[in-house]
Amino acid sequence: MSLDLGGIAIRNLNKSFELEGRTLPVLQDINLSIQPGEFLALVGSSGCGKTTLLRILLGLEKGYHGSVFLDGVPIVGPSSERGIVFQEHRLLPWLTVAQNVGFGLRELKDAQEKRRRVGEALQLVGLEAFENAYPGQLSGGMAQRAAIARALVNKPKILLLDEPLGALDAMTRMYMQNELEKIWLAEKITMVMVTHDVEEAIYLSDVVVLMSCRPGRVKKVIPIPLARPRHRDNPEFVSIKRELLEDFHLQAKDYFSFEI
Amino acid sequence: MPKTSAAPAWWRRRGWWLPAALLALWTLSGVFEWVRPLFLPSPLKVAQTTWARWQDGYLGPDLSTTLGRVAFGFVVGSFLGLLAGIGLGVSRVGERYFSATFNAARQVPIPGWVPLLILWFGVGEGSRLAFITIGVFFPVALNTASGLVGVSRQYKELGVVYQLSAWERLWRILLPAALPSLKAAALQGLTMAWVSLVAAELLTSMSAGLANQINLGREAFKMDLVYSGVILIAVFGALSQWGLLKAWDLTLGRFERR
Repeated sequence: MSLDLGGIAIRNLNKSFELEGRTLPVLQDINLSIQPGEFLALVGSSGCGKTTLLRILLGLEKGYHGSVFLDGVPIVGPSSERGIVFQEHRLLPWLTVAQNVGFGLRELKDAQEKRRRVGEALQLVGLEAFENAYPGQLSGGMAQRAAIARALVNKPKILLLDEPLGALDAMTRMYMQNELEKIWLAEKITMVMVTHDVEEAIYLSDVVVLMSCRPGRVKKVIPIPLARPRHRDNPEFVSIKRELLEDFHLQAKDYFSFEI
Repeated sequence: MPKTSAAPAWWRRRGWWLPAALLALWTLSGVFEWVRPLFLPSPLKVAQTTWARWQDGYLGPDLSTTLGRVAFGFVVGSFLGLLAGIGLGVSRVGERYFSATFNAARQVPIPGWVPLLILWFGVGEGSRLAFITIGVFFPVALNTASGLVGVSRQYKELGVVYQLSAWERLWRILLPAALPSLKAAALQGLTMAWVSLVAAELLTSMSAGLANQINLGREAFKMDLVYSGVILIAVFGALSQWGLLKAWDLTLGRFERR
């Protein structure tokens, strides 16, 4: 395990956008350490910069101050050691499921090895029977599983998840949370997930990071010491959730209140 | 859903009803002489004229000349239009440098090019082919560029995340994603090939070709020649479009899934 680490260090990260000549701070003084193999959730209301933070980890967002390291090496751009699942599945509609998953493996020239790796990834997400289906023929949950397979086929050190279950209905969502946990347990890689579903964050994460809004800062880092598999009605689970929601609502009140 | 195959043949072919009705009306008009035959010769007369021209060896060369011109203009114009459209639609550099020139040039109605083309390519076949090529070039380039620009940012980002080269981004993401626009580009290009063909053959005097046949008929006031030419152009225009769509579906249809 010591060779394939996957630890992230974020140091004094500041990021702002230029909007109509004004500078809008998005992320302010972010300091965060993510342990190898950890499941970490970034929670906060919309517009608090959590997606921007994830995009910085992915290497898509440039022009920030501070530094971001993966196992001690600065992140300068996208790389196959970091996989991503977006909120929309972003599968290419003209490729089959297997071809979409193989899209992440384009550097691999050996066709047989490629087939094996794609098959493995599809099996991991339970889609092996659908390798020849097209994305348009899949349900939302299945399409998202295919997207997870595409992100994992490269054997990344880190899987970044940008509200991956946000567009799914409640039942599929719960089912997919279990699937995600299974995949995390099987792959033993670091996962960073952006979500605004507090329960989902507690259910899946080792650590929940609550972010405050405008500018986005780390407000609280909450370790979740509960044993797995977790149960949503466990009293400890419920009390953590209540506490987190209270913080959340305090923040939301600031956000929506204004003077008349 | 096997809905279409369950319907009776006469219903499935309802697209032919109108042409058949028009032909019937035209025949009746010939029989009862509703219009003077000098202005509207009967279908039989037009068919006889067409057949006679074929047998006399005039129609064959006219047809092959016309089809050759359309094919040349369509292929060369589409290819150049595709390249220009990619240049304008993919790179910001291309767009910055060339879009003003491109947009100005495409405002020139094609007949406006004729004197210049004659100057550059002479009065012969060269300027006719260049004329059709230009007619095809602009709609193809425009539709290609707008299709590529319209590819959603989400797909484009995928190319960045997976570190595709510029070539791979074009080939594996942008072009397949823009395929509906490319199809529109090809269809519009084909239409423009026929439009410019007729214009080229009418504007530059005395050459073989179907439109030239129309011109001859007009000058000699032989309306059967004119109708024969118009109908032949309509038939072959429709056939070329049908062929293009068939070929497209066979080769690129699988990329059109959405």
